Amino acid sequence: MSEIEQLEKYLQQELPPEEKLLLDAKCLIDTQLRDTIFYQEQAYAVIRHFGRKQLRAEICELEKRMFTDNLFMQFRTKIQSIFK
Amino acid sequence: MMIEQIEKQTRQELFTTLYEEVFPSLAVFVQKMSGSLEDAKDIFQDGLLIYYEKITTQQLAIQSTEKGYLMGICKHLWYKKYQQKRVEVELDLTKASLKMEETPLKISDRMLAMVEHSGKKCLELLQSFYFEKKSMTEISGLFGFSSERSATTQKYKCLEKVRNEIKKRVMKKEDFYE
Repeated sequence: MSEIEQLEKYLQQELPPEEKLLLDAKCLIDTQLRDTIFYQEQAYAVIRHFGRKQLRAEICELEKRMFTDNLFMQFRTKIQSIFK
Repeated sequence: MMIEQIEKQTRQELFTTLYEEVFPSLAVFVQKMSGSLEDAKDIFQDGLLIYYEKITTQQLAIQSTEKGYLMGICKHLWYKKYQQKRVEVELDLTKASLKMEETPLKISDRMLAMVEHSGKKCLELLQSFYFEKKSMTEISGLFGFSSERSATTQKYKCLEKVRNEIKKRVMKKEDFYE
């Protein structure tokens, strides 16, 4: 197993207890390893942020259609009557 | 239908149905709470995002009963927003220099832009797996890998690339969080 794969399993709490314990111990003395784990956690956060941004763009595009396209006229009329 | 199989088109169909069937109820709710159409739109967008993440993470099947679930998320978001607004107004009125409760740190757009610039293809592959929760078999087909194994190898290479990019670029905490 590569280092990055092992750290992924460590962060997802999927490592066998003995391997987890060993990594816990390594972390205590190895600052570089701690940094690497921190960067890997940030990488997952960046990926999630990217995914969310793409999904939000998709939703925005759909929302725009729902409020402009004639196909959704009935929906629009219904909503407009609520806020009149 | 499992969410794993949902591609963009199916997702669009799902979101359209949810707009048609849930948004009107939310609009009524927001209007009664003295909110505007724009408020309802904002809340619904956030609600859909959270809803989608929940169903992908929990691998739930999409059922009609889930509409109540989405409505619940949206109402929760509304109350959170409404409370926040009230706090802001109160703070403004008293001109108190109270420190607002700290919101959870969010990854900044700046950091994302830096990583995106260094390799969008990699980010797309990674988000398919980690965000959309697609299987390696699907990813292998989508990105044209010869096997699941080579797709997995590439996934880890990409993750390492992103991790290194972050390491290289982190100078200040401000780069990370907004």
